[in-house]
Amino acid sequence: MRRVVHAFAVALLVFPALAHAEVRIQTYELPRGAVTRMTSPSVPTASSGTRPSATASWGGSIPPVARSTSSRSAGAPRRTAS
Amino acid sequence: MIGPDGAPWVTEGGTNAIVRVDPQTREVKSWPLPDGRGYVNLNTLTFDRRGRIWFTGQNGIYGRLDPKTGEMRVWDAPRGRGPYGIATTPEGAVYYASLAGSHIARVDLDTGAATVVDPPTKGQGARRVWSDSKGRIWVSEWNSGNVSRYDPKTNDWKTWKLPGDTPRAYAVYVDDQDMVWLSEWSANAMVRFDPRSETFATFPSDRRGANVRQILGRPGEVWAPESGADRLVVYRTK
Repeated sequence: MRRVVHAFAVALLVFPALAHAEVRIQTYELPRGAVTRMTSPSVPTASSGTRPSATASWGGSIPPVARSTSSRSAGAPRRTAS
Repeated sequence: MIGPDGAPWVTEGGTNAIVRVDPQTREVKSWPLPDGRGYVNLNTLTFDRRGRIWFTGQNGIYGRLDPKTGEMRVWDAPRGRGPYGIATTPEGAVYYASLAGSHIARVDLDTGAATVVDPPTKGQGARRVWSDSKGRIWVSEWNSGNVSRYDPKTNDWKTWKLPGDTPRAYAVYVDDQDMVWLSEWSANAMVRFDPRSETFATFPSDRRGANVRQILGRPGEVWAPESGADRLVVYRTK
């Protein structure tokens, strides 16, 4: 009886770990205010669409994209039959 | 979208232009749409196998830009307003989805002509498209909450309803294992569909209103930018 209980407890511990191992989720926060700053550059003047004109350079104002990261396990996804 | 040149390319709705950002210098280069077209509400772009860009505008256009020459062509969509997501198959075919028009269309890469393909569900709101490894087109249907698959070789369709009472399928992406990923806005979740078992797995976001509008990926990675949370989320599958 004790062996059965022990096996059941081990199964409970192991099964979630297997489910979690299937997909790992990692997140990357954008720097605060990055979206606002990226939409602020002046609008290039429209011209003929048949040539690569209206080149604008404002690269210096674009902030780095990814900053800190954090991770979480996927958890057991909710499975639904179609 | 990352181009074959390794640079990010943008459908820049604010300036009505296709834009390239140089990853080294951060120089921004812009190809505006022709003046006569006016504001087209640019949506999405894709590259064909010749290095040309195909793009959509919800006001009823799709177009092509050759970055090498700067030549840009714009066509009226066959049923007017609605062109939204656009994608290229492994064989190089280009398809777009029309959200307002509830259809998908295949584009002739030489003439630019678009051939409409109607999904079986009426008024389904085809929002985005993506191809699997066999060139079959997967469609996220916003109005119906379905994901559907079109096989160009047989003209067959197959459709599945996403989990939940009122699902809304926004973006679709097929990963390197031919698993189909969708963003589902009603459940605020990413949903993975396994075509072999025909089952869904749901991954709810831990942020409210995540609003994933586009999904892209690399082998073993599925990237979901949460537009409502200012956050990138990667699902690692290997």
